[in-house]
Amino acid sequence: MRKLVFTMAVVFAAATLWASESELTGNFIKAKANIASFSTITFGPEGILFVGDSKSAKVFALDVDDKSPNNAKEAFNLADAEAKIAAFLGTTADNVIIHDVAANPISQNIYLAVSRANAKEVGFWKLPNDVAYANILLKIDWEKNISEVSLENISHSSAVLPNPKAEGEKNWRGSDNRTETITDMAYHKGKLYVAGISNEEFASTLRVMPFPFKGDVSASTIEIWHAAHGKYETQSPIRTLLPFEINNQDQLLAAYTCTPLVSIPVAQLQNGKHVKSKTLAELGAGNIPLDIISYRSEGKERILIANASRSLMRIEPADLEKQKEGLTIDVDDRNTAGVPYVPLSGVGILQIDNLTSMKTMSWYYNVCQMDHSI
Amino acid sequence: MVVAGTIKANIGLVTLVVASFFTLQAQAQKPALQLIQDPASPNYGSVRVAGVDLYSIQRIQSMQFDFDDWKAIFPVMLQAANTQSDMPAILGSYSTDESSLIFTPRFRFVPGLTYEAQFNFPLLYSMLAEKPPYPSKDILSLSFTIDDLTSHPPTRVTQIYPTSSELPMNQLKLYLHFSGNMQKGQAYDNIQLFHSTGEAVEAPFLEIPQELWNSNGNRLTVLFDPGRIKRDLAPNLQMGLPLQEGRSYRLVIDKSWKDQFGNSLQREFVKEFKVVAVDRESPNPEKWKKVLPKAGTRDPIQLHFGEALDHALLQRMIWVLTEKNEQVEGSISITNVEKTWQFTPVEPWAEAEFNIAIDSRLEDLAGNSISRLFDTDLSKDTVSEERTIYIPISLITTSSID
Repeated sequence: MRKLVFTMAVVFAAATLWASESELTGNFIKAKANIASFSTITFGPEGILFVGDSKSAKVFALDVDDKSPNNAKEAFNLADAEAKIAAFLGTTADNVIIHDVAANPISQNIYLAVSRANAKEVGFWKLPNDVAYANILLKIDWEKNISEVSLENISHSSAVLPNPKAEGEKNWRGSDNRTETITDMAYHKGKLYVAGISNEEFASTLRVMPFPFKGDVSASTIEIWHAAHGKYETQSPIRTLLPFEINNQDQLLAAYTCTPLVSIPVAQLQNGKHVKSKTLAELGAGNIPLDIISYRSEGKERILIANASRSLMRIEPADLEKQKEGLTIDVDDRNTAGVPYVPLSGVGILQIDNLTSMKTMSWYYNVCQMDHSI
Repeated sequence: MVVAGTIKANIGLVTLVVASFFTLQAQAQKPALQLIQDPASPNYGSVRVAGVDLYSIQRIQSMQFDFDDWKAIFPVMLQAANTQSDMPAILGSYSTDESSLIFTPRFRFVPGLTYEAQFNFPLLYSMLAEKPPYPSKDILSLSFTIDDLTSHPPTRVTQIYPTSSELPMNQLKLYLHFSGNMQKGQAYDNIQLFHSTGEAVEAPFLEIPQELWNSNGNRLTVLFDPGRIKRDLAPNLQMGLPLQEGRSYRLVIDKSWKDQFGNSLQREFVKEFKVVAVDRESPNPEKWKKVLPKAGTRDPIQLHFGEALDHALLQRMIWVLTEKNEQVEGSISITNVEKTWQFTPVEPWAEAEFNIAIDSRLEDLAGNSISRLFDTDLSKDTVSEERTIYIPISLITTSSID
């Protein structure tokens, strides 16, 4: 079985100005949240957990009621983590898939999107969401307790994604196109950025949803220069994205399968617009990028990318700023181009997220390790 | 049932326990852990602590335990995981009925894996702050391995009683016999009655959600709607009797009915019958023809009723007593489209006096018992008391026909 490793490193925005609770959760209802799949999860402000649900083509905002600050806790290792999750679900580790992991920046509790499916099917070109829909949300707290986050009576709101792909069409990797309706999400300055595909001619779509959800969704189709393929592409979805300021401009850093890294100017994301991104780097073919985060090490902010078939990559923001023109060259399959990266140890890390500015968390196969330094 | 000690039975397949209200009421005893298998359900089944007294159940309900409380009292774990102290109990929901605590796993039990359930009796009563109904310091445990269900042959309908192809218009009951245990809750979707024209008969049966299964779980009693049979009741006045004299019917047991292993029935079962006149006469033992065996043989005693009687009741409502009032051991068979009861003794008949005992609640096909008619006007008709009727017989070495 493939080694499954997660690293979570958190950069905590120094001073986040939280809106008052009534502003953000004022339109939440306390009821059952009818989530069909936990395709991707990420935390927003005030301990609100966003859930991207590809199956029902919706985004949910959950108040998981987990707002007790927990910064003082000792670091810990949770050995045999997947076997414990599996035992909690009444089965063995080879029958459990962890689809996504998110750390609550307030409580630092770890949230996991999980399915009870055949983990042996996850592998090269097969991500967890290609194998099954995650159908349960779990939490691991700092006492190492595993529990289910119940959706039966939870304060939440939701928003519908227009124009999702119909279920039943297969993509080149043999998985249902519908599973890529939402591939990643990021919250930034009052908006939720939702990457994925739609049923439009240019499938790759970035949807922007002002939060709290009020029903307005803007959708832009995204074009990239895919240097490893030597062509412009509009079909493949963003795999992972990170709001990041480059040259004092709000950008979304987005990484794609096989592995372009591009920047998308936030200002250009307007409803119905086709946006041409700037290809900053070709990080190498034969790989799916899994997560991108910014974190703080050696006194400065850095970018970290986890990959399915390559090592952890560390990128210096200064190098992003130096890449004045986007790549338009055809790069040989084996090579990389554009913004350089430093390969870090941590092959097989599948997910990374942020915990706090000072603390990081790694999830190696079967070990959940808090306070891990990258 | 073992209770005082720890139950540690490694069982492949636990016999399905029918949790009907009939059987549960009879189980007011010390608690025991049971696996209730329902392989076609999403979670395969549930684990129960059965035999909990009603007062304790009410106290437990009032406590509103959360999952953490429950998993301390009544954890269900993977047995492999159980060897490590920090392995979690399985996620699931806990509930109660009138005599059981019930754990239903959130996800299906997995074939081939072994699970262990525990019931911490002392902890429960310490959390309830109650004195236990009996003293015990034991933690009950039950380990079970989930079978591979695909290895079981599908169940079939073995017989439907009455077997007669002619039923009275006021026929009351049908008995469906199966070769194995069936899943509950599917009966009325899978039993259909059609006119010979193919048109479905509207609402012929009394649909009882709990379903009337015998304790072995392989015989279902289906009642024609008594409200339509009893004269002058509203359903009778509005809809009439479900069956009409002179018409022919097809009773169809659908193949899609699932057995306990989730398999569909082997095949559809069809019973065709014609409906004859109503039966408004009680069975009369005085009119029955007796065929008596010779003493010294093991030949059966035969009773010929001259009409079909209720198959299930015939199994237990007629028996044979010795002069000393002891029941004679032997086997009963019902033949001749339920018009004949015969009793074959284990030991050869003695040359002696015997009594054939008959429970006066024995019914014919229309539910008329010896002591009363099913559909009777209590203001006019006399109803005799329920009693045991004795027919004295004398067995001699020469066969005699009464």
